[in-house]
Amino acid sequence: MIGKLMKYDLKKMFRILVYIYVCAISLAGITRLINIGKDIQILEIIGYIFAGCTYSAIGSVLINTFVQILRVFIGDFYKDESYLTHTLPVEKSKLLISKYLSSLIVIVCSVLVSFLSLFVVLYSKELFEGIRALLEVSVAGFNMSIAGFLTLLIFIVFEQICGMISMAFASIIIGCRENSRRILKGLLTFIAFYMISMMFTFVILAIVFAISGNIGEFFASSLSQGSFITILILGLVLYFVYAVGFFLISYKLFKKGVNVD
Amino acid sequence: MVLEVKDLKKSFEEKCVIDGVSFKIQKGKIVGLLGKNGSGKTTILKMINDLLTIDSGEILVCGETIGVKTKAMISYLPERTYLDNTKTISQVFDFFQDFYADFDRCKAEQLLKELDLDINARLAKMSKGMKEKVQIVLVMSRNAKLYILDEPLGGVDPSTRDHIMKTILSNFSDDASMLITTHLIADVEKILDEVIIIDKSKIVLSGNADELRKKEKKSIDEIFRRIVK
Repeated sequence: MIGKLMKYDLKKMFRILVYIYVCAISLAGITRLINIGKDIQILEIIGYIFAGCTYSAIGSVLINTFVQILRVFIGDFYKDESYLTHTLPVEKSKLLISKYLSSLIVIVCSVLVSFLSLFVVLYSKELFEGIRALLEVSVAGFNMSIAGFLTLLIFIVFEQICGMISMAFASIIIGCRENSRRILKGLLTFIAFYMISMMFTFVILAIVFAISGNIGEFFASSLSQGSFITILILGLVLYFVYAVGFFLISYKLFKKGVNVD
Repeated sequence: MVLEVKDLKKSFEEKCVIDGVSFKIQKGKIVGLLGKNGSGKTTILKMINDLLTIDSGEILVCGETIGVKTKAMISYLPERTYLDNTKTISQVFDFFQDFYADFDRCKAEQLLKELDLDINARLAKMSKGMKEKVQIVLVMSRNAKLYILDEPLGGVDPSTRDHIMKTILSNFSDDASMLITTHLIADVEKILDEVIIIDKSKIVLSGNADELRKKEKKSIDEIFRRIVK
């Protein structure tokens, strides 16, 4: 059943995004082609214009990704289409999980399209070697390979995205339990959740540094190898806790029932 | 008993909109839930369909509390258009086929022809009346145990009303029951077996439609006008 729900959720979310993806990649390709002849002054100017358009399109991909996710979530659960969604013979948990998984897929696709567009516009051997050198310097003191470091970083970012989706969904569900100004209350709830989670992260980090006797490093500008690894592991644990915790809040409240307009 | 509503209560910000409503619907009956605009008819239907939470009381559909099982048994027509405008009718049929085991696609296509609608037409290009016809087709093409129709005749012209009434009646099986709300009582009263009149959040009159007519020597429409002023 989740597969069927996801099929329809993904169709709705991708309906507009697909055009923006095509636009971003096309602009990136055109920019790349123009840059081949950048020795000619007029082509160099046109190249700059197209590069600007490409970066705008990439920005649009990222902004629209979140807009589409929220539009589909609010539309399906609290607007006119909710009359169909909530009367489907499907458990509420499955409705929520479908939205969650579809949102993750859409975000991953949007990030990949953004990186692909940037790669098409910016790739050069020199740039690639420059990034590699920078990464080697960054991980040199931490006894890690570049691949390991990147994998860990991607995993933490992915967990952070999961946490943000859970937080956003929980905020909307809480906001929509009210009878008026639902979206505004949802937004205020999201800001409150975000601030609380950031403060909690800060406090936990301070406690861990204090226990390990490195509280001085907590306020310093550079980190030792041990402290850096501690922060990464803490990030992994805390973002996992946020993702699961906020999902459970969403699920518990959603299961209690909704009050659609 | 197909539907049992027991001492149902609902408030919005301390304003009581449903105050201790109780009624039952037996198998094979068509029941009219009648009331003025804002009397609480739609609120009751939304609670039966899990679109509103219940403050207190109980709703049972074929003995089951509201949940996945009851949703599979109820075919609900809300008062508003809930369809995704970007879809064609055919795509909406696919959606219903995916989620409702009792959806009869052949019947839906047949009904669509009778109502002169094109299966490949996009909802965005349809008028409100046409969309209401599509929703009626979707609801009546399910072999449900309980049909709940909220203002099925609201906002459509008299000719379309006749089409809709004909579609509802010709596709209603004796094994099923129907709860229908409307304030256009004259248009539906001839099909009603029982009536429930609701006013100011409470049931003010209920009973067998024929018996009420006989007792009061008036039509249901006239009885309604006398009670609800």
